Amino acid sequence: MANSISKQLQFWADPRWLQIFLLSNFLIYGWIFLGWYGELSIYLTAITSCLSTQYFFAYRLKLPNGSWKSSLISALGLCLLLKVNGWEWMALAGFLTISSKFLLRTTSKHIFNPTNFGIIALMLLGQGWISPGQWGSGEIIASLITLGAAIVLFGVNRWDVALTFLISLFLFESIRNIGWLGWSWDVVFHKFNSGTILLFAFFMITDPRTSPNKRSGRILWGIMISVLSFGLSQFFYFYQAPLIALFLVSLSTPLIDKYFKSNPFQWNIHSLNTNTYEK
Amino acid sequence: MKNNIKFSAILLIALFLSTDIYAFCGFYVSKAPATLFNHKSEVILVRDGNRSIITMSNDFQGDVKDFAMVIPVPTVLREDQIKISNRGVFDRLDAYSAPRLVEYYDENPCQPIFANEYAPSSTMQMKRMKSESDKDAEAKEDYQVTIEAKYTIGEYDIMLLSAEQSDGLERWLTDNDYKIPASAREVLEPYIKSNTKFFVVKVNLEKHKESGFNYLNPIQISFESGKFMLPIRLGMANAVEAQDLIIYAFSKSGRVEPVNYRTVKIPSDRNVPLFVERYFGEFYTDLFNRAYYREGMNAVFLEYAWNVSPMNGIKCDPCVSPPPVFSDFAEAGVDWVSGMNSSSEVFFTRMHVRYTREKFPQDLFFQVTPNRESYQARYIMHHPAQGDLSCSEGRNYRADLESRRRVEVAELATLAGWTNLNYGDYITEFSVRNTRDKYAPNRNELIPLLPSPADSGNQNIGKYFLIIFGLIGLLVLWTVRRSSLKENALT
Repeated sequence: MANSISKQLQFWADPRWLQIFLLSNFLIYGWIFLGWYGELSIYLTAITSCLSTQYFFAYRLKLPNGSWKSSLISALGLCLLLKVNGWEWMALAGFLTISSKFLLRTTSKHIFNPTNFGIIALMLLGQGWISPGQWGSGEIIASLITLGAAIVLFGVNRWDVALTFLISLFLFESIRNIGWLGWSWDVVFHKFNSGTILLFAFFMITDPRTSPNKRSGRILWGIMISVLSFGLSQFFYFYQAPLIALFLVSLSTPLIDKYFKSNPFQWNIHSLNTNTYEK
Repeated sequence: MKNNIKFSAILLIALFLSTDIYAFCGFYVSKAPATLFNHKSEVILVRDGNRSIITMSNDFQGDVKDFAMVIPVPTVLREDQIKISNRGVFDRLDAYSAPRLVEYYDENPCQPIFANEYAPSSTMQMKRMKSESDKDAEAKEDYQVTIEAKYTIGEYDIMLLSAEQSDGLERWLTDNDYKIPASAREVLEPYIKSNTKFFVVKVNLEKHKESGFNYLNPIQISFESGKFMLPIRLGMANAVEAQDLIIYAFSKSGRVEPVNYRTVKIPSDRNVPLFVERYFGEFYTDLFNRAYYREGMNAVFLEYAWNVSPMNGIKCDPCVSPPPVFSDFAEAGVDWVSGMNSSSEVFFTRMHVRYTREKFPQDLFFQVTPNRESYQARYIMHHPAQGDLSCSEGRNYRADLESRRRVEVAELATLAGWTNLNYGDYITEFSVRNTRDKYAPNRNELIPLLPSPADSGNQNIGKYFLIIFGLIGLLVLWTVRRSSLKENALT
């Protein structure tokens, strides 16, 4: 009896539930308060497509079926960020997203963050786009409170890369817009008043299966992403700049891991706790 | 109950009739002591790759000699990149894409009533005057302002300026008899630093007299730039209150949407009472007001989106005026359509934004998306059946009608905030056509100034939802996790 309770608890203690919960919270919020009503079928397609692709590959490669939670996280990421013209394109996006995990990988890691890969692929096909302006103004403080609480309560792993990215991007934007161009502060704050940047920082670049293993490597990596995305948006007017930057910088992850050696990441119930695998 | 699909469409002309003062992205620099305010303006925005074609409507109401406009542009424009456009194209695009009221008749088919008030286009020849593009001729050292080019096009004298410093530009404008709003300087500097040129326009009185028109024509500019934006910040320089901007955007692939502000679809496809027909302009104005406050005063509203390619059959449902034809495309700057049978794709997006300095700190930046979903702001009226309704089906019908009208009245209160004690009569009565006067809206004239607390509540509820639901969930997860880790330590 005690044993079965313990097993159940272990199941629920998986840190990925935290991500699933937070992402669903954002999605429900958008659905209720930002009027994303028409897209329910698209959301269901994303989830179905991601999970079935996951099962397909797990079956073919005879893997234990533990990663469905990761796939659900990827699917929720697609729902929150990617816009498409029809459900069939979301089905394709889900398929490409999860396939990239199995096909584009090194021995222990994925080359690209799956959601990032799926979004970039659909954008290149000319069938997907992201709407950085889909968030209202109210939720930024609110989501920061929630995310802050999550970090404090759970000691969330890899918050370092999210903070590095946000702080360095904020510095670049402030120096350029306030120091050089002479805009007022509300212009810079308004640029950061976007749920897309927050989602990107806390749920995409923090992905332990794509970010570098060692903290110093991750900080370098986070700065590289912010430099590139700042440059792309300021001088080339790419509004999807962070996603493109992550896609390109991901190619350098194996190199960073080579110079900043540490054990690769495995999901387990302790994996929120950085010290258990990183000395 | 079968509805006969007959419709009449009522145009939303003069939506904001009360605003008799003109506005645009540029600020007005008046030479007269009268202070000019920006209230409502219209702009056509065409994007093809890196090329932008921007047409600015000009419904300036004062004495034309006082008209002056400054628009930031990314490059020094050549003479062939500046055109005088036809004012009629704005009327036609507006009429075609405006929010519409549709009516349906229960059972008895009646003749459709077309209230097609679309104004015929005024034909006019564009006059292009010889230009003298003497670079640097009048540049003055101490202003650090360079006159990059000077043209006379149509009735306008146009200059393109580049500047080193905002105070230099400010002094130049003042010394050349342009009256500058005090707050302009803070926005001039960022534009100068980003290497922006200034497109300065005044009316050439002689040419204007020659043209014989008593109004000013729209100016169209085209240029290559990665930036796809409208510089609204400069226009706020002399804006004391919210300004309305209507954007007619055209692209090859799909909807145009702002990237740094939220796009909200204006409520559509709602059933409204019959008497709304008479007050449709007021109805939509109040509906827009409410939506504006409800969405936090910082959203861009989508009013129409449709594939208007010459080859695409249905372009609206119903159409309130003829869809844009080849000559309209040409006038608007959609130059990839070569004729009415062209296979080229054109996607039309109409956006309506009401902006203030506080809620819109950044200029409006746009992207062209592959989104081809159609959208239109449409409101529906149902006419009751006429004749004897005393049979048993008739009694059921009357009961249905009553509950339907109850919903319509509730919808009217939600959408436009209209309430009137006589609306109870509307619910229970049938032949309303003759007695509509008593349903005159009880409009709250303060709406534009004071948001009602109920309207702005949505955003706040959302915030609390995120925080409270988020924190409760986190606590539950945390408790589960802790007990699990304890269990684990024990075993």
